[in-house]
Amino acid sequence: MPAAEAAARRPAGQVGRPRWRVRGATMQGYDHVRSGSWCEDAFAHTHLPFDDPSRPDIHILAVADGAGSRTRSADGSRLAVSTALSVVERGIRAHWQPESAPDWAALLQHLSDQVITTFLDVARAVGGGDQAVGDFATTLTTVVLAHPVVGYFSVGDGFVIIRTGSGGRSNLHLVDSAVAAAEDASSTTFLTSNTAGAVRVSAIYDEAITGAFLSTDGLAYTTLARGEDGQLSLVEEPMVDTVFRLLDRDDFDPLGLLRLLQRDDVIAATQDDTTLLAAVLRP
Amino acid sequence: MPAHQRSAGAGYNPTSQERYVDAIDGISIPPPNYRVLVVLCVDTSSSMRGEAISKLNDALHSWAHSMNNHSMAASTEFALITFGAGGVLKWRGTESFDPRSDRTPFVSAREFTAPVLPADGVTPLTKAVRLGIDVIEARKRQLTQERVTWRRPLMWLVTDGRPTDDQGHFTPDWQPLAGEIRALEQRRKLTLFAIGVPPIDAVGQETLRQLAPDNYRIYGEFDFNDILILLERSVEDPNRSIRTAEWKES
Repeated sequence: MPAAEAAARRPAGQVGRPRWRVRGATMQGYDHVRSGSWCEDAFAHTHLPFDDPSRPDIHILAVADGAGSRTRSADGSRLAVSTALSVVERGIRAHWQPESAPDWAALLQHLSDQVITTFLDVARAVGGGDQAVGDFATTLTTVVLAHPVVGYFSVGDGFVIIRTGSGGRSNLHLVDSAVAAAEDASSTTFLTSNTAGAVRVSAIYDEAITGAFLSTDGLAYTTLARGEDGQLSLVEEPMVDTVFRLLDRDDFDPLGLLRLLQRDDVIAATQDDTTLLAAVLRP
Repeated sequence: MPAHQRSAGAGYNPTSQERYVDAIDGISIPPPNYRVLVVLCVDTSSSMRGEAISKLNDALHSWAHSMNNHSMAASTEFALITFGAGGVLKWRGTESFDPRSDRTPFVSAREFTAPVLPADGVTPLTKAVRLGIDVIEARKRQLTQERVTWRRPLMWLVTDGRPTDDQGHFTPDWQPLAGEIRALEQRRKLTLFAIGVPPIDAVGQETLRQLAPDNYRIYGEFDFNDILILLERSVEDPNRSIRTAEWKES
């Protein structure tokens, strides 16, 4: 989309006001609370306002899930989300600006390589050498909101859902998920794995997009179901729909997200750290 | 104010805080559509008589009680298999039955009850572990039909002695089993944890070490109830080794 057109879509007098309302929450799994361990999930987001009114503002969101068996996985997930935000922000500012979904996808492919390289460099430096890098094992899912484009790159078993229009199950779209089935459910690809060919990158252009939801695999069991064909889809009454609707309201207290993650049935279904990060397009 | 107390008040206008609480609490969460299959493969041979079987029974009862209301209970199923008294047996609650029966020994953790196990007989460990592998595969076939998925199955082996055949002669028939278990673990079909109960001898210890190189411990380094902690962590990540992990509660 041309920059001037993007500017025209922004309501007058709202330059600098974030186009998206972004809220997130994370919760330690029962075992981590009980043992006094850190939460191995992490999330972060940032807003890139531009002084130039012709530029639509951009949001970068990231979630990560450290590998439970690795000693520095909590450090790894935090390092992953902070690296993703800084590398992608720098990249977007330097390369401004893609105008189509394929161009965004190409940029994100390039930036995902930089994110992984930077992550490994920092892990190597902090950990004290190549042998320590595996201790920082973590997944990473990063979403860029540049309305009407939503782009993402993901390594591991995080998932991304997009809302179009006013929502409801038929307007919720699972655009990315690599949650494995059966015995493979406990294994995934990490930034510290061989990621060649394992980075999923895409961008979608849709004027009707009004929400984006990303999460680590902990919430997959409350949100996704596998059909007879083995494909994942949203459950019949996805909680994501309610989360979006609540976020649409100016008076919603985001502590409600923690209340959701603390529900007994959510804990029973997940048995893991849980994280959600959701964004809704402001009117 | 809870919703049921508010609803009767004429003209009552809930605050935005109350509205979101209602909305969050009203979200429908589907029950877990996966299972964690856990086989407890327990030695009840004559060498377990006395304090060992008594402690094991106490721990099983306490453990069953803890699991019934545990947050994992909705997604976890247990199967108890014993070897020793009565030969190799499957159990459902306090009832044991023929291992050749097609009936599954898996029960929901919510309904898991522990029998009082006697100690007698020899130590057909290999046969019991193989039965454990078979019941896992059979349960997975049932779950497939029910369109329920599963995480990597776990087997906990608790024994104080060397494997024997049905006549009580020490036997090396467990040696091929070690390779089969490694192959299953590499394919993520199983994780085996082995607990040696003193006075397990050096040969018995070496047997368990070969059956579960990364997941072998001696009872006394921890209590049976600590298995629950290890179980929670192994459910979260079956790749976590109990020999190297910092598993004990601080």
